Amino acid sequence: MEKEYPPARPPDGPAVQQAEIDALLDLEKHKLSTIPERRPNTAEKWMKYLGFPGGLAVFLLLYYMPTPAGLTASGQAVLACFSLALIWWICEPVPTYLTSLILMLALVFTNGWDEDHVLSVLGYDVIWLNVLAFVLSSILVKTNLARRLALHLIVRFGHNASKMILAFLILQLCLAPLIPATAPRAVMTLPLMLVVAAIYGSTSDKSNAFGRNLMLQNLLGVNIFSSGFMTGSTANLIGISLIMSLSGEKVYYTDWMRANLPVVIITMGIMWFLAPRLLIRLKPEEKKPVIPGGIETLKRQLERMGKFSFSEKKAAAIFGLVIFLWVTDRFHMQWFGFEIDPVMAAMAGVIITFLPKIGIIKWNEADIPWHLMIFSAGAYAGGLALDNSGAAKWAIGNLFQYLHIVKGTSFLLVYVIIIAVNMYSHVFFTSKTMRTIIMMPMVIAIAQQLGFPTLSLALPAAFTIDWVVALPISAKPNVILFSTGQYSVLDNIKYGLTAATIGIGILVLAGLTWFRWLGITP
Amino acid sequence: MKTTVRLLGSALLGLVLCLTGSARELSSYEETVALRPDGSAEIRLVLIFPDVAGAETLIPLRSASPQALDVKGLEPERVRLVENDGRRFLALDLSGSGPASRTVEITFRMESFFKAGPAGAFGNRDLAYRFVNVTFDRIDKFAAILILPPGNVYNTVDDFLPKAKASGGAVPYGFVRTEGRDAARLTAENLKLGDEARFVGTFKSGRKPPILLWVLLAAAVAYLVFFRGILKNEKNVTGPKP
Repeated sequence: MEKEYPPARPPDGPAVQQAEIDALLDLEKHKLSTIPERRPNTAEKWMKYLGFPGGLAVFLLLYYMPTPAGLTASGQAVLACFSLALIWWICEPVPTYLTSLILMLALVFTNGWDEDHVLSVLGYDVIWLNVLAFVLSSILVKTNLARRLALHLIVRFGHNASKMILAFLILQLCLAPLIPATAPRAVMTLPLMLVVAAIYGSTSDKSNAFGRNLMLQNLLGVNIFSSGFMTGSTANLIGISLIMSLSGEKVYYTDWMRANLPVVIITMGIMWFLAPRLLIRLKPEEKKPVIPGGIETLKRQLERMGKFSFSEKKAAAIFGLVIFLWVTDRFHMQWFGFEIDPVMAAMAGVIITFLPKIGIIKWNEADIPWHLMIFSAGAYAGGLALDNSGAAKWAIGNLFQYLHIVKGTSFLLVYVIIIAVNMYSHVFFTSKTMRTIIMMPMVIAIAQQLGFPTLSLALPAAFTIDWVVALPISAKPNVILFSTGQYSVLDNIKYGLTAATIGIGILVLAGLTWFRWLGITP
Repeated sequence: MKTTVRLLGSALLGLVLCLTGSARELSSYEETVALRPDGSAEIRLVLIFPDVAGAETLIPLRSASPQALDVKGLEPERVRLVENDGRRFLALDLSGSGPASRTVEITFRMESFFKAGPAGAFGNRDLAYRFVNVTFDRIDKFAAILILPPGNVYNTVDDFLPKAKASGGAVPYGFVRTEGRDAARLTAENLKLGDEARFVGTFKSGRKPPILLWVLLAAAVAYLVFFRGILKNEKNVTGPKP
């Protein structure tokens, strides 16, 4: 039973209250394109101070050591550059977008990847999707639709922080089977998160534990719930097609869901319960909306908003159209003769948004955090270079060799190693697809080599594909949520690695029980 | 470009010769190319024939002027050099009686396998290896080992054949160390008449200029000295984060 806490401040006069509420909920004042200032704590200061020389030391070590057998010179250079960037992204001796720029320059100057490829990353679909998604998000903010929906949500569930976060998690769980792309799900819910966080006193300028927990729980939810459904992400389907083509084993939608959905829900349940209590502790005053007057004031605020305005309806229609296209992608071929991918669907929505007279906003009103695009471009360039140079495959192959998995090793040990390596390897990749393409054939080969049923290792390994939660660069939704400035890279690592470790534990337990009953593990 | 044209030309010529001459199956074709710093290469071909019945077999040589040519596993009178349009072929007479399978080893040296002059940007040198099956109906197992000159390392792989069968399928090449030298091993199976195996990439010296080492070490030390205020000052000097 959660203790009831009084509102943060006693209610003031109605006029003062209204002005304060308006100021708090005015997301225009907390633009994502403006980089918020954060004061580092002592640990973060030390990380900043030591991260710079530490990153350089690792770079020099990897770059100047003799090229290991099986690795190309460009692969070695990319490994060195990516390691430097990874340390700097985590420790932040320089801003993350600057690290990305340095990484791109280093890749070219060390002959790791050529200039044309590095520069072309800014034109990749992931960057386009981010830009378009932020424009769409802007219309929800501009028309106050985000505020209305968030107020509805908070009046219904917002009596305490835990319930509020749980409401978001349920929302993410419902969206996961409907929208197979994770980034659109993050974009759809981002404005709601921002308004709710603001109501609980957390903004990009001055974030609190509630804001950090809300964003990071959503980050986990968007990614991990995808893992509960075979169609939760494209990478899942690639993983399954690799299993089917390389081993001949067939896996059905329901096989996947029956096996992994319980794992996902249990892990998220544990994270929802533990994280705000242990990882980023909520102070008593952060468990309630900071609005003077509490929920009653918010109820009145919602009533004051009156009926849906015309611009809100337009925004809802545009967003609805885009969501409709995202949700119905599997029917596009039948309807249109071609498939509209998430980027093109978002672009259609953005075009309507900017149309004179019909549209809702002008270019200057779109809140696009360009620093984030540069950050993403650098991260993707590094990740793609790792793949392109063969360095990622070499590193993973060597890791498996180092772990010395040989015939005669017990299934349980092999299972734990496979799950752990697959789960934690996402730290070194920026694309689920690339990781799947590299890891799955190795897992299948190991299973076949050791004489274990292929599915017993390959399917649980495939269940870890969507657990891309440890870093802001690990997946598209992570980048989008990181743009809110509500949490640091270190917060993300803490949350993500804890969730991944709990996930490993649950998957191992499932391997010994649930998966065995389902006939997946021997 | 010239090399490519020459190679393709010889491939087509071989194809024509092959169609008019003998065609047979080969159990294994293994070619080892050991590159030298001057651009020349020592080439060793090991061919395993499943049987010796059949007429003369033409093996295309990569050079119009192969040096130190030597053939083992076949009597000298059964081997002769054939020249067609400036390209050299080794005609092997495998007719008549003999063991059920025969291994023939051909070694020779050739000039200008790669351009040995000044290296390109970043010290990179281009390396292209192509093999077109112009002789045999089928080659069961094909392998080419490209050994770099001492002290060099592979830098990039720009093109290869056969392509991986599916996304995520294994690539047909891998890198190994052979007697302390970097080598690429290209493999293929079931190469039919006209099929190609290809490896195109770059390599460079394994030595790296030490200037970057000293510059970055100096930068690291300078940072520790001049940015120590980060630990004390609330307003850090590196600016905000996104």
